[in-house]
Amino acid sequence: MALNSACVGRRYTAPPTVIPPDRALAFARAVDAPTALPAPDLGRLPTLAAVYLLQPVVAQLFADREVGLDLPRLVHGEQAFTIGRAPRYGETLHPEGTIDSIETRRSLDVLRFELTARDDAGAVVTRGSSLFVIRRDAGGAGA
Amino acid sequence: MSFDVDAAHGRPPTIMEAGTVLPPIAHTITQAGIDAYAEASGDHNPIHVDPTFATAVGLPGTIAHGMLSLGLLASTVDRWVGAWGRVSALSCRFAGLVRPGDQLICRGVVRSVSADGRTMTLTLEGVTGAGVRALTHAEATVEATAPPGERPAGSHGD
Repeated sequence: MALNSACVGRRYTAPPTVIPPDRALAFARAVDAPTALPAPDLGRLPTLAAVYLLQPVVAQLFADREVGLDLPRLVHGEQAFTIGRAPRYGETLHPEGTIDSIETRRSLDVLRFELTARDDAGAVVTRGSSLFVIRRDAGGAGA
Repeated sequence: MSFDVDAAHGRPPTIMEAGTVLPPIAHTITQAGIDAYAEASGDHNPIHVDPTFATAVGLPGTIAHGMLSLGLLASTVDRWVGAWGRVSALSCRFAGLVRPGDQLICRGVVRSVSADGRTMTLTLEGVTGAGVRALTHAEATVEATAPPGERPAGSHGD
């Protein structure tokens, strides 16, 4: 089943979020990053904010049946981040995501998802761009 | 423009300038590590944590999250530059599978250093010990956070 291109532009938001020190510490250990106690320097965990803040938004995308993502056939093809500044412990951040494009390339559907986390003032803390590829003629792969 | 990386633990300094090949750092991928990343990131997709499910959808077994591999690549950059700077941009293509038991070897080359010495760009890749090019087209930008004139004082990792 091809993806529903009518969903381009669809926006998802997640509840305001803070990064708990214990989660940052677990993440730092998992990616072999510096693990200063009791809380790692968030400036030295460039993928944490994107992953932790934006994961709920990506989960909404994956659960949106109107988009039609076939998860067992989905491959995380590309990922890019820009980090405006490091988040701070205790600050509230606001994640959102938007379907930027859906394309069909031969036997592949390709969906680009743009992600942003902003602070209370609306300033961008981190941006992400994810490219998801869905293979329509093969078994799953995934990343 | 170049930097001296004053490597920790008595290792010799590395000059970081355009073309400098940075010392590869290998990360061992284990199922326990993948499980820990799933817990920390909130990504519990069963292809990463459930061997039965992974096999049923055509994979050779569980695979590491692409974002785990990218996180390891980011940590490698952090070891190269230390507290001198922070990664301000990072990108890659997930080109191959990384599985429990693999070594993910992270490599990098300094592509450019800005005229003011405050920004570096690195070309990166992640290759498994078996030769699978897992992370390709990878790049990072590092911005100085240390005061002007201060040199990177990162570790080559241990």
